[in-house]
Amino acid sequence: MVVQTGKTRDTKVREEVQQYFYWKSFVQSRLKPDFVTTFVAAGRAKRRPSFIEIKKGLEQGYYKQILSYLWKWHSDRESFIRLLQETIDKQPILVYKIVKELPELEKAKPSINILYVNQNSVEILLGDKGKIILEKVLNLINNLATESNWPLTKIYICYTRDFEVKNWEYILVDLVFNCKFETANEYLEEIYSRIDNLIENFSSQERELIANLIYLDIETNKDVPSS
Amino acid sequence: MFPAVDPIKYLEFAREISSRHETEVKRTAADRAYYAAFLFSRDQLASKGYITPYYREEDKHYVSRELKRLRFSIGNSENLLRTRRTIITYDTRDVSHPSLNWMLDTAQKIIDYVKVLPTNSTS
Repeated sequence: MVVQTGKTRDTKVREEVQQYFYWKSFVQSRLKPDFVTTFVAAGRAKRRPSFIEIKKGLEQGYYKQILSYLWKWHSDRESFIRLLQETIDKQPILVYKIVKELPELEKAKPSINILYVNQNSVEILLGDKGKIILEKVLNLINNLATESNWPLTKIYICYTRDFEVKNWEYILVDLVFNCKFETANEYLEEIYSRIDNLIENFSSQERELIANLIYLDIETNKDVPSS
Repeated sequence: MFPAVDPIKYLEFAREISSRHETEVKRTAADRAYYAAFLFSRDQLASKGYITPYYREEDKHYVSRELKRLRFSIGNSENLLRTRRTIITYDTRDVSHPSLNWMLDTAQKIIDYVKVLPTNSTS
């Protein structure tokens, strides 16, 4: 405890206890599920230690502990909230720091991991113009997902030979969501709506390219694309 | 001898049997839902002058591509319906998603779109 000069010891202790309870009630009032969801979405989107580093002032001593909270959330959000509530008594400053950083984390826009499978084949099939179309589609999805804090963890870009029709090849953009299929499907419908609007402004050549070459699919809670 | 069929009847049949609990019935319903959407789309796109049908496997490519050219969301939905139908048909292990309702609703969405497509004015 920091001892301030000019005050009796009893006064200083009383002030510090008051401060402690103030921060405790402050933190507890912030632990609402929607607030935590935002925090988790921001953290999960990056899954790399460096995202914490953008928050200046966060002491290194709490870094690993905060990361461990993030990882715990992946399995059970309610446990995460319960964990924070339990931790308040033992480490109120830590929990305060986690919750305090949440508004800053909300502002951070981490980009989603985009991974190429058979990148060479993807690029050959797309050609220069196709790559530009793909870029537009990926930017649209990335912006939508990060602005709305979707649980979109990865995007796989796969060169694909169709399993039913001979000589039918295309690029599959596989969106990996950390949620139920029905929820991921709702996000996909939103993407559809935006892409349909985007295509309104395409030239006829661009429309042909996207129609021929680019398909979307969704995966949920899996690491490997289905194709 | 198999008389001509209206593919929409496949979707009606799929809905009729969808309430049954047996997995083989649900998988059959999912299969028919896809074929309702695909065959109806193919026949409509052909009659309205968008594609030339071959009545072979390749039609799946042309239907998918043409639907995507007309409306990305519909064409992509049709392709997802096709790939999901393949998994449901060939993978005899547990298939957790999509649900049969998703298959039926997606098929309906495609049929509803194609039904009101105008005749191709550029053909």
